[in-house]
Amino acid sequence: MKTLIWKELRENIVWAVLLMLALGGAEVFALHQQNQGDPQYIFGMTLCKTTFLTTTLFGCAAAGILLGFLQVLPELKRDRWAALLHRPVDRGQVFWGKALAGTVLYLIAAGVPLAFSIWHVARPGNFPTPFVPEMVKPGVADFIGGFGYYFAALLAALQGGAVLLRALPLLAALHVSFFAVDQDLFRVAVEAAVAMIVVLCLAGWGAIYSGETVRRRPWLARLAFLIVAFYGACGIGDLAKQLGRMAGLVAHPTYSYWQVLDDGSPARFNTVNNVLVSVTDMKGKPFADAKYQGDRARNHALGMNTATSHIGNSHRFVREPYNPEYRESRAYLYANEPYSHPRLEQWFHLERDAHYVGMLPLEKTEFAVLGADGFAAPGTKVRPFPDDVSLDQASGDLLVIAAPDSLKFVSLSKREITELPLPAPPPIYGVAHAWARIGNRSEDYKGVAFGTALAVYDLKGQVVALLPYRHDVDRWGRIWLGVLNSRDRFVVRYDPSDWIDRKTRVSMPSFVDVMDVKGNVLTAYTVPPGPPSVSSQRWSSFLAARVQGPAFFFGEMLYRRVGAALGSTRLRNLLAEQLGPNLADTRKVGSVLVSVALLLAVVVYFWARRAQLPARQVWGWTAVALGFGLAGLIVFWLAGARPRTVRCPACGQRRRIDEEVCGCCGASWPANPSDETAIIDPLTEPAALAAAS
Amino acid sequence: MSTPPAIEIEHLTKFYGTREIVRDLSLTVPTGSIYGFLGRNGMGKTTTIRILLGFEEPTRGRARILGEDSSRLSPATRARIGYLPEGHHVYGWMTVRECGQFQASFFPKWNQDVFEAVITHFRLEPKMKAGHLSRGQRAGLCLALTLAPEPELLVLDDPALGLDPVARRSLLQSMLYVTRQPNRTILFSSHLLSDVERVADRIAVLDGGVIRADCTVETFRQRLRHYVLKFRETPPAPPSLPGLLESFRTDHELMMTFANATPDVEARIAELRPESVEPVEMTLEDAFVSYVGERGEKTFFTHQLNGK
Amino acid sequence: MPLGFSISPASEVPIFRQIMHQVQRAVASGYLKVGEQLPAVRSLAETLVLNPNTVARAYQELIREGLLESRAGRGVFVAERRQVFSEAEQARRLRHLAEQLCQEAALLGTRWGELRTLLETTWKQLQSQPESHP
Repeated sequence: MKTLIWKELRENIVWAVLLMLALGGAEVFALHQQNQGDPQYIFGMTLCKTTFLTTTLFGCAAAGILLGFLQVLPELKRDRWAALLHRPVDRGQVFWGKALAGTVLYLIAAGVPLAFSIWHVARPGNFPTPFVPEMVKPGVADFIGGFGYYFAALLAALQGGAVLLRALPLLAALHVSFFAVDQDLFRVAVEAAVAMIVVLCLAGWGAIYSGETVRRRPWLARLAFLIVAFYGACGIGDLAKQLGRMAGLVAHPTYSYWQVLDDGSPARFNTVNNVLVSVTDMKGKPFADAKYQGDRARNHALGMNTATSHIGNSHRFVREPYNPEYRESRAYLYANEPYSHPRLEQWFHLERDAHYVGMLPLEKTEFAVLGADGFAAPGTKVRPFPDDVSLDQASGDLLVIAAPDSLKFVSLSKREITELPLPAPPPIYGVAHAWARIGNRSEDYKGVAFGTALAVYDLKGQVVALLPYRHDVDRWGRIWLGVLNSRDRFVVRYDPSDWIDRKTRVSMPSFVDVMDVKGNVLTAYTVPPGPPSVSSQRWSSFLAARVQGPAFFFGEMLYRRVGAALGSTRLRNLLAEQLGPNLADTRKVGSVLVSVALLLAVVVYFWARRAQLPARQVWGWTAVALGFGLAGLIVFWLAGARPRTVRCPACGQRRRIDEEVCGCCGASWPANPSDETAIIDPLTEPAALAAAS
Repeated sequence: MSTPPAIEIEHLTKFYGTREIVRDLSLTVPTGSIYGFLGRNGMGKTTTIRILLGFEEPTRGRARILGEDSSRLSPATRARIGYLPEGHHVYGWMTVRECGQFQASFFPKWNQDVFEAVITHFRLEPKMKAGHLSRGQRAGLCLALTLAPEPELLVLDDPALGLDPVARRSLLQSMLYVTRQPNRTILFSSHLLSDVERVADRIAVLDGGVIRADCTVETFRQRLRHYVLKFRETPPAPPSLPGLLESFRTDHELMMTFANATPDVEARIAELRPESVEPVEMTLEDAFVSYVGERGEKTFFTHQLNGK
Repeated sequence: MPLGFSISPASEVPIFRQIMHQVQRAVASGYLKVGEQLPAVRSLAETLVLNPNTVARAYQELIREGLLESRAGRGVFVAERRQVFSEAEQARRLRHLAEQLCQEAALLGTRWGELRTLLETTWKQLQSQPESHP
């Protein structure tokens, strides 16, 4: 074993080092590359930058595949392979020797560059961004995912048979990559990748025993191979979906939402594939005013933000923690606006530690921190802002800190904190940023939501308007503020509170009031409830996402139901959506999936019968097709052991070449025709002669 | 026999796709014998050997080696089998000594004296890089690696391929050296009939995936007969006689090669009324070529050359 | 190797017969004397790079013909000459060789006188070499 590992390391270390240099160079280059398309480019989000993550995602996968292939393919030439395997050790040991050496090689090829990149970013003076250790997560996820590709390549190389069958492991790894990249939670992405590594590794271990037939492998490896084949089939589905999306074949999601125009009136925006196709009023009629027609309406929509999502706490509503995707830098830190052009001082909000860090973009060093107790010297450990404090930093130098019982305006450049008097009784529920557009300039306002009214402040801290609520804010507690460009009119929008469950919420109307500075309602609109804000998916895309078949469809529903019963809000909401507004789609998809699976099961049944598989296998594969639909069929097609058949010389029916007797007529194979030129000499004991003399 | 056979192959059939490479092959190699495995290229020799060592699976039938099923050889049994695949692969980056150390680390038994004797025989230095060796030297190194664990059974797949006469002689000597110990068995495939004749007790001839001959070298030579029939006129077309392998007609001669010629056949030959019949002894190589070469009649008439 | 064996596998003559012929010649020429020991099967086989069974076969044939004898546990020796073949068999064996000799002589245009002289000289040479009839 030791010598095997030594041999593998010695043979491939050069490749690993070359890969390490290439990948390391690419990663550091990606970190330093300034991507103009990235809105936060100047503060390049270091380890979460798209270019960097593209490098790690593809680089780690490529390194894994290359190492896996390099360890097996050159040796797979028949004689070399036989020379390697003809040793008095279990073949499994040869595999583990390769895999252990491969792990070391992969660590060198992909791990060292990642570690170097992390070290490079963590060193102060290299990037104008605070280093948040959690930002290594996406890179680490890619690194682990790439390790899956290593085992996929080992398995693909060891597996015999058709090309597509050998590609299945790689497709399975691809499927996991698609899955991992889509996840919000790092934990889920890593769990999926690790699970696939274990499965691929076991399947690879089995493949070294017999590349040709899965049947000859240890049962654990056989099971692992079936799982790999299944996820490989899902990978085919993923690829098909991607290609379909590229060709525009799969889905045209239509999506409608409503917005308030700059005259204060609500308008419905209708999109197909994210392209705005029409703008209508609430009754569905287009606007007469030319500036509200078509795409131009976008430029005349009012910028509005929510000050709070609910008012009052009588409903014991606990907000689900918001999990932004682990691959997004904003899951870890957020640059204060405006970040689109360089400033001498740049503040960042660190999400987990809930405090601010000020950086000097030119020196690329920290200059100050801001916590719940005020400003402090760089590097100081400060008290984080409590959870019930709203922070609004959407206007350059000004930071608004709204605790339930106090309101503070902070000038970041002057390091000054001013506590403001409250125009209405506390508690404060939240702050919204609003602005009026005057030519090319905008004038900023802050809306502070109290229990009875919305106070509008200018940036100097003066209350310019106190707007009492005109609706039942217990039920319509999601409150938005907008300022018309004339600056003497305010728009308040009331949406159903977040504590109301989604099913009820989508049947409730919304309200829009245009008010003057005194709080008088000038115009009031009621926006009817309806499909807006709910993305209506075509069922074809819904179906395309589920090549897995009924087992997954019903399995997912069962999982959600159990999760909801156990108290998961997220799963309850998902289930409610699936069985609520999407019930019709759900039914359609469900019935299509079931009928397609039934059809495929019948196909597989007769196919397996024709291949003369034993009854147990016939029923097994039929069940697989029934449960996993198209994926089941693909797995049977590619991975199912279907022995070749030839015509039986006795009865003319097709019979398996690997069976001694014909399954139809029971005849055995005809003996070789006797040949009068055959020279057969009975065995004597040749050793006896030598022994005699 | 007292000891069980080293190799037993029973009704082995192997398909690649729909192509039948080996058909209903049965062969027993008794312990203590040296067996030559002959046949033209692509006739299934290597496939049979690979199945025998568990690198491929038989479509039907089975193979046992040292009493164990080939498809699940235990490491302990593998340690008793020396296998030299075609191509003589070595890890080029190792030195000769390292090759030995690498190999030795796997085997419970390792006779360093044997290893050193064989490499010296092939004029190898321990410090030479394996990747820089000539074809014959590489074969020597592989042979040393195969022999040093003192296998009871030696399976050599075309070991002489590409070797010069000196290296071939060394190879044969090493093979004989192995059989100095009692009950050592060798199965080797080869195209060099002179080598086979020197060392083999018995031969098996594989033709088109089927065993056509399984006998001693002597029997093989005895059973193949070559007759030269002289005629005054153009000889008659050869009659179809049982066991006729090939015939060759020239202006005044008819040559016929038979396998298993019976007195009856000789009588039938006499019926052709030739001027003389001369039985000719054949070398093993000629016998083999007639045996597995193309069957049927060939002619060479000068009057055809003259454009009759 | 004192016995100048030379084996050619690419010959029409089987190897064991080649060995037999060479032993016969050595005995006939007196190179090997009665009672002299022949090399052991194993060592002769290794010297000639041959399968030991082939050498053993040659020895056995020669033992059967009475040229050699095997002494248990000690090896193979040149036997005392005794009549093993019937007269008819002797005649048959010689006739074959005589035919060959005469054919060759006819081809070369050798006259009978010359041939007879040659035979006589060869015969005398063989006879004159020291023989060990006890």
